[in-house]
Amino acid sequence: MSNSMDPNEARRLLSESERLLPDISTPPLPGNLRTGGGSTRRWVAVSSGVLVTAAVASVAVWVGTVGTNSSPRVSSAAGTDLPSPTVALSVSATPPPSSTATAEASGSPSPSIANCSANDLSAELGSISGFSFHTIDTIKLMNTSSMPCQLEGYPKIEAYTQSGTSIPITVVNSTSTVLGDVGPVESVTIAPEHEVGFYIGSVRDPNGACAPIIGAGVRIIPPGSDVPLPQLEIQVGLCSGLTVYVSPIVDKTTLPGD
Amino acid sequence: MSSAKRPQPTVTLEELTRVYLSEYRLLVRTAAFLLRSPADAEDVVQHVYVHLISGHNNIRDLDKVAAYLRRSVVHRSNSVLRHLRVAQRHASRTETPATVADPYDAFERNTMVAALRNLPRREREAVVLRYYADLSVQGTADAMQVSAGAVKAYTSRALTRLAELLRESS
Repeated sequence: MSNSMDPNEARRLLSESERLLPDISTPPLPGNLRTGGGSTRRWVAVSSGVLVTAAVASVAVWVGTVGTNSSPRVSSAAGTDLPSPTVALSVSATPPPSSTATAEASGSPSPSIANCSANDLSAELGSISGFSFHTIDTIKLMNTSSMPCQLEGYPKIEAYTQSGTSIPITVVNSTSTVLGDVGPVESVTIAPEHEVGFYIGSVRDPNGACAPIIGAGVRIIPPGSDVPLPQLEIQVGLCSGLTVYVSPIVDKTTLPGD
Repeated sequence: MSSAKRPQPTVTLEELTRVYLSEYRLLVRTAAFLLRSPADAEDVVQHVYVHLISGHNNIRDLDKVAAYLRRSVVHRSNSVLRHLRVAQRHASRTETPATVADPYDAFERNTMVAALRNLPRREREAVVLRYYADLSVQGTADAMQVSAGAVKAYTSRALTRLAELLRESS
């Protein structure tokens, strides 16, 4: 009796195992219809208190590197740990001149990757955290187009009631949140059907002066765009005069607590 | 006298994206087999894609892109596994488990998947790339960045070990 598995048996077992995987969303082919089914990735809710790094309701907690703009680079969890495309892609039957044969991963996003417009994006409320008068919503932005696009900086946030009346709020942009620092402002490239995110937070008035407006939401205007996404109801307790803290758009994997 | 070579045209972003999309499903599922947490598979593949397109203006050979994506997925999966090991060592005792339903539960409870997890990394890669991704020995060697002989050795050892593990589990 053979002590080794037959390769065909291995194929069969792997194929059976593969069928147990959830229907992983497939990005649409250019020009084709979307397959739907959403991303299977999990945005696990941050449990209250676990990641408390600041319990004091203080603007200083939030105000970090407002407006800081480090050298743009493609955002990812581990940056440059991939094999260089130089090695992978410079091989051809007729070796081209070395000066032009490589795919240098310069770290800078290609200028030909367009900024994401509102038409390219859909917004969704992700995890919600709340503790000690702080409420923080994670907003997920998915690239629903068939091409990659990029975002860099802070989204513009406007608050509205359910019926569309503007709610005056003060928006403070900051890389620091009570959940931790989200890192520098940098360019984030989003593949089709993939998501990035940002935080919207508020510090509730312990005296209850701010009565949250039920059903109120925000309109998110992507950086570099003037057109807002459809209104999204959020849970930060929007009310007139509220100060909300907005993080820059970051790769999902860099969100603290995620 | 040397004749001037005509510069090859640059691969367009659309062409790269087309290759990526055509390979996407297989790449994600391959990564799901290689990773401890298959939920990370999509992130791994996106990471690879973003890395790829960041330098697309200089890519000349579209035929190599699929192989590059496969190699990068293997490489990136290894990075994620390494990171996971470090993270587990430093995991806080106060961490609370996720309470959401895990869509990968059935997959992770599967006997074959469990057996794969018990293989050394290189053997797991060899089996997954050869018999799931259906790559040739050379294609697997390219993706793993090892020799064809090494692939054969890893595969042989993996099949022997898998047979043992599955016998033990039954």
